[in-house]
Amino acid sequence: MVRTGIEKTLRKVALAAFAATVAGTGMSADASADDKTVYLLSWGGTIQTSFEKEGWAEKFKEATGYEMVLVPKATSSEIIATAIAQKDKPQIDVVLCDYAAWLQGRHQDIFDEVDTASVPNLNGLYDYAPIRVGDAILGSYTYTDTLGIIYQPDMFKKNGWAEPTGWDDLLRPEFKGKISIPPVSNTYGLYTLIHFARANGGGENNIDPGFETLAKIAPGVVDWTTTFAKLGGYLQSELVAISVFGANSGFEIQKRGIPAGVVIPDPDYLSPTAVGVMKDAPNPEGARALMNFILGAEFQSFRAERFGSNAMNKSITVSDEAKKYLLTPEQMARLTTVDYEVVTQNRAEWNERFEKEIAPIR
Amino acid sequence: MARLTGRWLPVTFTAPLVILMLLFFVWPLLESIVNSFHGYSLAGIDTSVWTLANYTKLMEPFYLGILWRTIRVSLTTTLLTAALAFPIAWYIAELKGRAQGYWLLLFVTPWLINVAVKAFGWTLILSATGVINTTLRGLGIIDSPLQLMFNETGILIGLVHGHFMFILLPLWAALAGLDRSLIWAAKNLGSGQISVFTRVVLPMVLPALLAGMIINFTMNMAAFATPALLGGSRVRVMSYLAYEINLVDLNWPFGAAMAVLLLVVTMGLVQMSQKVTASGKRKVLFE
Repeated sequence: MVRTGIEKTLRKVALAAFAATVAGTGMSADASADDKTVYLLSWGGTIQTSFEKEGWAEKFKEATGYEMVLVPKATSSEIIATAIAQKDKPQIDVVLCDYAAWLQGRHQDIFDEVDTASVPNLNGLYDYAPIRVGDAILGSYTYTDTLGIIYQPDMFKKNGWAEPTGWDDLLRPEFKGKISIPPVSNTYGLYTLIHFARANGGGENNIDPGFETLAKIAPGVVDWTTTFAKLGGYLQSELVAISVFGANSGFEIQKRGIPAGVVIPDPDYLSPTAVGVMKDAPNPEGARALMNFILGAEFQSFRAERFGSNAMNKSITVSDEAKKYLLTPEQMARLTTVDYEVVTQNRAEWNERFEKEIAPIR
Repeated sequence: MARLTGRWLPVTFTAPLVILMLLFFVWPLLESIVNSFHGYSLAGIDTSVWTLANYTKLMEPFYLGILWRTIRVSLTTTLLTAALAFPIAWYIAELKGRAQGYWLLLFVTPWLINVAVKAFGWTLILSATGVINTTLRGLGIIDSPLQLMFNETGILIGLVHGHFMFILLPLWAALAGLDRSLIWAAKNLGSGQISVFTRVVLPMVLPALLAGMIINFTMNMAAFATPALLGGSRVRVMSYLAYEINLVDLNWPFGAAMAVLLLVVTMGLVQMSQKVTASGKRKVLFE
């Protein structure tokens, strides 16, 4: 009697689970078919804060009538890998990530052409912001970060060290064992490599001097750090005295109360993020509306005010306090660019060379 | 009404999981294996090319060196964990019911904490300015800080701690279920402590110990966050490299070859250990 009761229940459970599995595997394909929703593939972190906590998804809906859903990832690499993985049948509409990663996507032909009719805010940007391939516009820079030399002021005071002024401070002997630089696979590490190549008679097309300089610094590197959270921890525990990272991250570490000084080195580099519309996006109109919104003065002003993002939109308005952390248009114009086509062609080889030759150095 | 009885009941029960595994594990795995024989360019996977180049590249000393480190660290972790877990499992098995629960909970807890959080916790303890080094220096035992992380020691500490329960739990279950009268019988017949352990206790808990060690070993081989955070960039392991090649370089064919190699090596080692132990067990029991 009891046994049949149990058997009956088990049968029901088994059938239900079976049905749920079959239904579940068929269901996901249609999740983004609704043309009132736009899917943005980008970071968690400040992008998620902007849209989900600070109400910008709501504002986007008020402005355009589209519902926005963020698909958050941790790094630009993960963002672009996700986009490429679904290039044959995209479920996301818009991709926003670091330009270096964005360009890897471009090479795999995942971005659709846009124009100023569907994305009018392209007209209000700095000239270099829209990403042109021939006559076509395939995307746009959204805002740019720059590199910063980030240091631990308490350690400098204690040891009586002279404050850092730029790139060459990384070579000072007193910092041996207290240096953190991102690996070459990281955007900031990549810029560091290219900078030292250029500073020593080479460049993107002759990278050897860059590797030679990194090899000189390597024995003094305590960790090749990839995330700003880790860097913050190292500065706090005085494991690291000096490092290279995004200047914005440096200011963010400061704002969180961790002792950190930020020096803008000369030359400094344009390190943009970029936005693009997926080819065959489920919602092409909504995608362009979102891209337009991201490039608009209202959203760009907020990003600049709240997170110190250097906007590509020329007509942003920010407070005087926020201006302290932002580059002036003149400074922006002076930022050095790298030849990203050459970089993209060589990046995998440089990453491998870094792992083989530089990372193991003690 | 059709009735689900007899041989259809187990089929219906396992079907959801089998379908899930086929769709989301076996299928992608097969696809990865196929991809590992394709070429790659900036434009993506080149399916028109069939090549062994990804595998021949893995035979370079650099990659073999990283594979060897991965195996060495994983194996050392497993052996160390087994040696540490055995006395603890025995101690817990001898306790009364409720006390057993508390002790087990103590050793299961690390598994319930996010691996990245754990690694950051270890950073606070192991770094040059961490608790251990500060204490030892304060007591005047050492002059310069011990290098406890950013090397293989760091990975070892993190992995032993993180995967401890996978050996402890099966071992504890086996020891708790061990018929104590067998030990008394052996002693009664003149066996010494060591002989009781090697000829009575060990053979009986060996399957559990081996099962635990295999799970522990495979998890060490696949571990990603702990080696990345506690080992740092100077002591890369295979899983980290596969991550970087797949996600940063986007070279999926080469990344797939790396994953296949890791899978084959792990499964091979597991098979080997099972064979060796099976023959060893026969020896212990019957010779």
